[in-house]
Amino acid sequence: MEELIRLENVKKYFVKKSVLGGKKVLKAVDGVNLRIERGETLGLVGESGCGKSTLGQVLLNLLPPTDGTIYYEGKDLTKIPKNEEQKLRRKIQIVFQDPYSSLDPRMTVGAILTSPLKIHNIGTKKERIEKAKETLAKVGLPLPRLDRFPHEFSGGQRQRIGIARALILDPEFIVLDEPTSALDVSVQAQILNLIRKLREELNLTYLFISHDLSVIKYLSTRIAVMYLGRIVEIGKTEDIVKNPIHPYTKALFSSILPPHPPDGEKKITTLEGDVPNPTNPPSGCRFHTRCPYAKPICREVEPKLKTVQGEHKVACHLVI
Amino acid sequence: MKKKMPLTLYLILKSPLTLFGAVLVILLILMAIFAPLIAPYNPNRISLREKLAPPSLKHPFGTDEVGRDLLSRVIYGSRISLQVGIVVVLLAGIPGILIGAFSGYYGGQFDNIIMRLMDIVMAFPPLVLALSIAAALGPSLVNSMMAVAFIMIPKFSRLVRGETLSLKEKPFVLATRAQGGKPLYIIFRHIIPNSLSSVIVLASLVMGDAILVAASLSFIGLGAQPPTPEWGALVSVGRKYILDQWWYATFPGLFIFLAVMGFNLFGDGLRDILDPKIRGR
Repeated sequence: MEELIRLENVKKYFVKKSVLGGKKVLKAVDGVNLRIERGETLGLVGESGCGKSTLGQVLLNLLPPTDGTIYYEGKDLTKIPKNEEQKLRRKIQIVFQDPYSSLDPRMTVGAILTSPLKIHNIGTKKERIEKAKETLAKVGLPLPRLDRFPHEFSGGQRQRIGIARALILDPEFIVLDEPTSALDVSVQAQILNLIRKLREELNLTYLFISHDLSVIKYLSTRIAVMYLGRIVEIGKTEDIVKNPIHPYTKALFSSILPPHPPDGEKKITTLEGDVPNPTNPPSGCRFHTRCPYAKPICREVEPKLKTVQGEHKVACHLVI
Repeated sequence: MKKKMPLTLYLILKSPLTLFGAVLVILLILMAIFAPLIAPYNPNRISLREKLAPPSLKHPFGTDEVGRDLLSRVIYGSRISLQVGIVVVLLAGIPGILIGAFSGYYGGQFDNIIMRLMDIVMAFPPLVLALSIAAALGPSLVNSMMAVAFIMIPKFSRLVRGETLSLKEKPFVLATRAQGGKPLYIIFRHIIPNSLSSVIVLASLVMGDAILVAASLSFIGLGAQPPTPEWGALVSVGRKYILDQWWYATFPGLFIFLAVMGFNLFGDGLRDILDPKIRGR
């Protein structure tokens, strides 16, 4: 497999200054190492506030990382010259969670879809409109006229427009930042199938960010589990689903209720308490405050990602 | 927007004060447009035999010290006041919007310096500052409009800066940035069009203020000069006769009051109506 993206020790801290002169550092992403291969879908899962969306935005260079490097096809994104950055911006795209705020309410669908082409000086006006129509057909929203405004569409249709905008520059890699969590369940399924179909047809690589494990399971070839700014477990989808090792991953999986409950009692491990404040993460293993198996070492030493088997890696002291 | 228009109209009709303001504003505009048709006399026609005549059927608002018909002069005066309002809004609005959008979008030290400069302008009482600028430029209608426009700039820039701060974090702006859109493109394509609805509200309020401040300057003698039928100037001359010929200063003054109140009520109502918390998504 060919490597498309590599993150090395990426950190993103937000500094909040208080009126009294104090400083608080919010460690949204705190030392993430990740590889994304061409053609795969990496699912990134975690609770709200664990830094998964921040990681997506850092990857797109929307937020400068505090530390660490991001390589795209071997090139360091953080030190790339302006003209090359502009070229890369055609290859990397993002689809946002909220289909309401991700489309400019004052622009027509035509303007929304042709504006990326305009930014990159692609084609004549007529060709751009043709391309916009083609792309809309690709996402299952064929429109004869493009002069309608986003508010005239339903949530699902808007999300299709958002996907069309991401596709119009013929990208290689798309960050899908919870693309279905703002939609109705029935529409969710349609959008997920569309995302899956587009991957096959257009040979795309995805980073799929979600807090919904069943959605992640459906789409991803590999899964990374994030907790408080760090990756705690990563591996092939079947390995993670069949054999979750980190106590946090286990808890996440046991919270999905099976559609056909097996006979007899099934033990459900539920997580207690909230995610600790990321401005003051716990020492040692960040999960020890909520971990049912925590030992003294967990409080003192931060565990590193260790290979369990093949590509399956876990950051936990309890795994030997 | 297409879909919102009838709703906006409906909400205006349901709020009596806003409707009243809107009616005053519309009447003022009609009066200015059709002045030659409505005015019974030429506003500059001198008739010394009828000087300082009290209100009568022939001269409903009476006449001035050289016998000019005050009703006609007040009607023509609406053209000047409206012109002042529009010019001031454009002269203050365009730079104000640009300053606010750039300052908010770039942020940091640049934003800090610009906003402190705006604070300095806002720290002065508006009339005093306008007065000193108009005095420095020399008394004329054009200079008074420039003075008033200058003191109104911070109102627009502060408003647009606030809008910009929230708009620049919106996903649709992030999406354009992710696709390589430059700051200039984002400011003109996303930020300014999306802040226009609140700018329109402010523009209506500023119109009223501008008319009032410009009339005050004319009253002091720093704005429009006497033969011009400007309301403030009319009041200023009429002041000399206020004890014996009350109508001279009263009617122009009443029109200043009505025009300013109209724009303020309309602007206030529009602000409530366009508030997304009231109308929902």
